Amino acid sequence: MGLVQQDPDAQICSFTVSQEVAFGLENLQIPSKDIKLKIKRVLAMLGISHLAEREVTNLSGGEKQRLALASILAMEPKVLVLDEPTAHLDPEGIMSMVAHLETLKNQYGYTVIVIEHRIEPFYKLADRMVVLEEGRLASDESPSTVFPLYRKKLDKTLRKSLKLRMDLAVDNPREPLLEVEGVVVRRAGIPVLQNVSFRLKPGEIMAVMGANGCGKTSLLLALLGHHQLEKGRVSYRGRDISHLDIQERVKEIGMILQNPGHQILERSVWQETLLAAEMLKPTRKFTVEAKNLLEEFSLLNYRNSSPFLLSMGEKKRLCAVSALVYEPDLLLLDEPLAGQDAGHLDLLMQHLYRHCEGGGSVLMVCHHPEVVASYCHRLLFLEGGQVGYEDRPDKVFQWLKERGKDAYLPLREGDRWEKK
Amino acid sequence: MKGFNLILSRALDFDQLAGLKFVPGTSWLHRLHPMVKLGLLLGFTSAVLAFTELQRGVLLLSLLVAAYVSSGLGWRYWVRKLRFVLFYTSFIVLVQMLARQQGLPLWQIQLGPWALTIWSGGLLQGLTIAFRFLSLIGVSFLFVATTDPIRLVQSLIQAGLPYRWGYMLITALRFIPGYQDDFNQVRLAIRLKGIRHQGFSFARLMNMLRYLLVPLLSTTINRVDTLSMSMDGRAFGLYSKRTFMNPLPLTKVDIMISFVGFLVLILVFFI
Repeated sequence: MGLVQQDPDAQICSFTVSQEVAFGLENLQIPSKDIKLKIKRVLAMLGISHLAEREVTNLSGGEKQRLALASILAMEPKVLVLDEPTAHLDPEGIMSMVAHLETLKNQYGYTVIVIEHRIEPFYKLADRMVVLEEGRLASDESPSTVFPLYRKKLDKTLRKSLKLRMDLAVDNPREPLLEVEGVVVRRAGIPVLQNVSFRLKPGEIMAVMGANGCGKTSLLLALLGHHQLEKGRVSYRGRDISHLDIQERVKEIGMILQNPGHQILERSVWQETLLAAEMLKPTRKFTVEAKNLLEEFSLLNYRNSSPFLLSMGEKKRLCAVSALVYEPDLLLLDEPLAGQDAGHLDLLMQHLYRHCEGGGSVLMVCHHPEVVASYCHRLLFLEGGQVGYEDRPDKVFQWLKERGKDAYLPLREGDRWEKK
Repeated sequence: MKGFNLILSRALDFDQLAGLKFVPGTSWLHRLHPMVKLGLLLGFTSAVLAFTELQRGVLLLSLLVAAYVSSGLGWRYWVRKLRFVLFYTSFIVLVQMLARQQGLPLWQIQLGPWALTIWSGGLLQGLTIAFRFLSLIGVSFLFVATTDPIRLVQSLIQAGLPYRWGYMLITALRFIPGYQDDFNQVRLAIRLKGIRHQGFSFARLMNMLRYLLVPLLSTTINRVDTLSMSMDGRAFGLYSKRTFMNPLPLTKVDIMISFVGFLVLILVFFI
């Protein structure tokens, strides 16, 4: 049995692709000649032969995921277990991963077990669907039996926040909260953002989509002031803030980083919830808001526990709570939905709508086209550090469809629920 | 206070500290068997420590510079990576010139009521110390820059080092860029929460260190946990020995170079 864990980067122990795939074979005392043959075969199977001598630090998230899979497959296990393989992938990466698993299952006869919150991409592939609830087996049936039940529950949950959704007029008359004009950012001499311009108005949730490495996180960090602008201007409520440092901007702009483990600093969940609020708005008391938010996000029971002991999904929720509690007008969220089940995803969206009702705005990096289609007012699609298209999600999806980028489109009902 | 913050942030800037790493290449030094290179490193270091004369210091430093040039790293690498050492050695020379009053007075500088005299003995002593220092640091940098850590560990394992120990080094090296990234992210998180260095006090400094170190420690523990599960899942430690995809045999060229290197060091002794 071979296990591919959630974070592909953390499970790689060598420097090059070949070395990494060879690692397990060397431990099994396979002779050198056979190791080379097996590496060649498994890299070809996953379509990454061209990466054989590449350094692992230069691989994209999807390539690292495939490398982690290759290093397990080389040892020829009978059963493959993948723990949330889509958590760090863009929609194209997910599509590619599912296609490879399909090949492994159908052509090579592997037994594949996928542990996932996002079940839609695996619906067509799966023969069985096992649901665990509070540590016990809730169901073990074919997807066509389990899915309708799951969907019913999901729809019931989604309805709560969709009721809250403000249908903003196409021409939102309000003055922009954030205005980004011709922003250029370079990192280590390489342009990561090129001439990026867009506006975000009060009350809007804007999603940012694009392939891994297209500049989504860099955009958020540039708006926060962490990345310096080579050219361009960032205005907040009509005032140029390009020259302000992070500590000036965070009074109005809150951010959730991609990896919550980096953002948690305090010894208890309660202290962590209040840390930013007490530092940034020391004259106000936030204890009631903090308690309510922790309760809603299923974290109140841990209030005296160490936040470092929480699961990845719980840490993400704690970071969201600690940002929501002090109510910055603009929220920059870097993949806040990763590792969240449908219920907590919806809960977060409900809070984001409430935030927008109060005149705030949200800029959110998101890899879930279905969430973007249902919940977001605008969509910014980045390509190679440039704005590909920015408009209402339905218009951007149409634009993506015309360019053959099907992986970024929300799944249609038939794709989602009917096994072909 | 701004000055203190600047010094603190510079001191904690990993980008400045982590310039020492393997630079891939195809020069003879890159291709040399790591154990031979390790032997030459030890021999060279012993010679630098054994000799205290300026002439031998110059000779050893010249050999090192020649090795740098032939490794394809070039002068730019030498200056870029060793600039802090060059700065430090210049300071040593200056202090020795002014403080050690031996030999002949070379120059006298009048600074208001003070007269500073530069002595020949001080200059010689300063240069000797500087050359030895440059040689010791420079040879270590050259070794690291031209030795693939995987090949080094593999050769040590082939020489009898238990492979579990060898992989401790490999995984540590593998994760250095990750630690750098973690460090920068935690610093960003601290700023995001509005935490500032407000006045200097021991308690505040300790608090800042806690905010910095605890998340780093937690992230490292998680990383180690994931990695050990990944390695165990791929039969690491199942057998006492392991094979290698590319075994590292000692070639005739390796033997010849180690012999020549040994001869050169003997010659330095007798010059």
